Amino acid sequence: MSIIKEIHQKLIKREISVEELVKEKIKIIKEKDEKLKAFLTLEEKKAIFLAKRLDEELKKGEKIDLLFGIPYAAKDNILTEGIRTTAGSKILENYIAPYDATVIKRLKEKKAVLIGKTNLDEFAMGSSTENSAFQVTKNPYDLERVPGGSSGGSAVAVSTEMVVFALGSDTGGSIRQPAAFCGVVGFKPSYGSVSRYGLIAMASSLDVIGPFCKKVEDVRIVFEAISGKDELDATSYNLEKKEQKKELIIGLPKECFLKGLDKEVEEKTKEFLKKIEKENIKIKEINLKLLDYALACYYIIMPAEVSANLARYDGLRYSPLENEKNDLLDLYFQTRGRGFGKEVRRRILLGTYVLSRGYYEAFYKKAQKVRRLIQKDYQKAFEEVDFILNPTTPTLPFKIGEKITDPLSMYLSDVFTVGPNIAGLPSLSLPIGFSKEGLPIGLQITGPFCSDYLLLDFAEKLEQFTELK
Amino acid sequence: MDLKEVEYLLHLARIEMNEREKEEISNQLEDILNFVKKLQEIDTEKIEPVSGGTDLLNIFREDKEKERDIEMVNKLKEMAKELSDGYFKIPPIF
Repeated sequence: MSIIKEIHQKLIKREISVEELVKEKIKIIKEKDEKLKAFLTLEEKKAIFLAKRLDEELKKGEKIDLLFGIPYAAKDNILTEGIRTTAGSKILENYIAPYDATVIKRLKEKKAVLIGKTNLDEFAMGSSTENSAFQVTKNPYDLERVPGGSSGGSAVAVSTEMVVFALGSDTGGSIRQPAAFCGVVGFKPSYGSVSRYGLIAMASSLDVIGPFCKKVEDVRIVFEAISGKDELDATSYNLEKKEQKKELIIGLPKECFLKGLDKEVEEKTKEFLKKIEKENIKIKEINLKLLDYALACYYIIMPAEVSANLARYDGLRYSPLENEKNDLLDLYFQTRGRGFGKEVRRRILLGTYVLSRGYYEAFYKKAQKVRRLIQKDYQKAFEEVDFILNPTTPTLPFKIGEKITDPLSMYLSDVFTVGPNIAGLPSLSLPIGFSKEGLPIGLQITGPFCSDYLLLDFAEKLEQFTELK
Repeated sequence: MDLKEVEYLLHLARIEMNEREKEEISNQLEDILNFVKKLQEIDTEKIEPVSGGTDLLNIFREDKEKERDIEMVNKLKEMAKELSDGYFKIPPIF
């Protein structure tokens, strides 16, 4: 059953007040977060103040929305008016957001309660949350392991019930991969279905905001609230709800079950597929020949956009850090040299390279063409199947420090998740079970462009067969 | 990738870095570029490049003046290190 609906019933029946609910969550955060380090900013006073006001409204007996009073957290690259928003970077250490992102505004209208801002890899660049300039978030199932990234803080906050839901952003897997590593549901919606206004831009043609929840039904509730056309984001639109077919055909890309896949991940996935095969679901093998190239394509397009988007951090705007330079050029060099961490600098330089004279055609333009072919590859697959399933990640959560010095091996942890970003497709990670050591394993469900609601219906159906009930 | 090339990129991107960092990043960039080069294996003859995340075109809005949000203007000004007559004051360009 939906956790949000359960709380909603309790609020209506006055079995619990919003204040009690919010205080209960803050208590959990204070108990657990010293070790886990999911939060960068906790808005305790603001949250309790709002909770009290909502309790007054509740007393009046007016009809309330499902999200009324529900405590949530937002990744710290989503602007929240009057609250520090750092993107996990030193360069924005003092930055107080002057306005709300559209998603935050929409949740405010529904009267959900923001509890705090969660940790991330700097500017959402990374797969382990180790790239944060402030702290390293830990995996709640094993403190020596990473929670995944870049939305690691949000995944941990939901996994440990510090909040009911959390927002993240996904450019190449940053919602689904940490969801898989922390045993929660993480949803990357179709590109453009959720407004990016107020999301600190990383790679604008790939970035999407989406929810983390424990239940698929809750994902749907949050997604309905935050999605839809926004005048302030020209790429946004309204989704139509469609009717689900009775008999579904599922595609398993051969390419995902080859080299490099962890044995336990493979076994659990196959075991799960056997369970669902009995339920009017046909499974067939498909070829996504270009999937093997998606990561290479991503590591050209993404850094190119990063290098352009991050040019705005000039040491003049966004409450800059102190510096002693009196020359404008020196000020740029110093601000950006000191303010950006290693991974961010790496991606800016890579992007600068692939966009520079002599390399533009061979790298950037080539990648844009391959992007078209990858999109077509998926379109062709969806003529035969309704959804595509594969493990969300090729491995179990890895150890803290294991990949941080080898960028390429870190990039490879996104090998199964980048494809849907390249093609703009909706994609969800569903926790299906655990390894022998008790580490979570996720299954990725990908659907055609704009099939978001159908995908959520299907994920809910599959949820019954998981080991987490 | 040689150090000269790294220095050129650092100059274009306006980032300062010490010698040890330059050395480290040149090797890493080399690795990554070798990895992404595999795209050259794919035939992309006559393929239209994708630009942007959707194929949506021409999103228009009505051409009318927006109300000035003085409160927002003030908030943005507060973030400047130095103001002069309501403008951001920056070091001289030349």
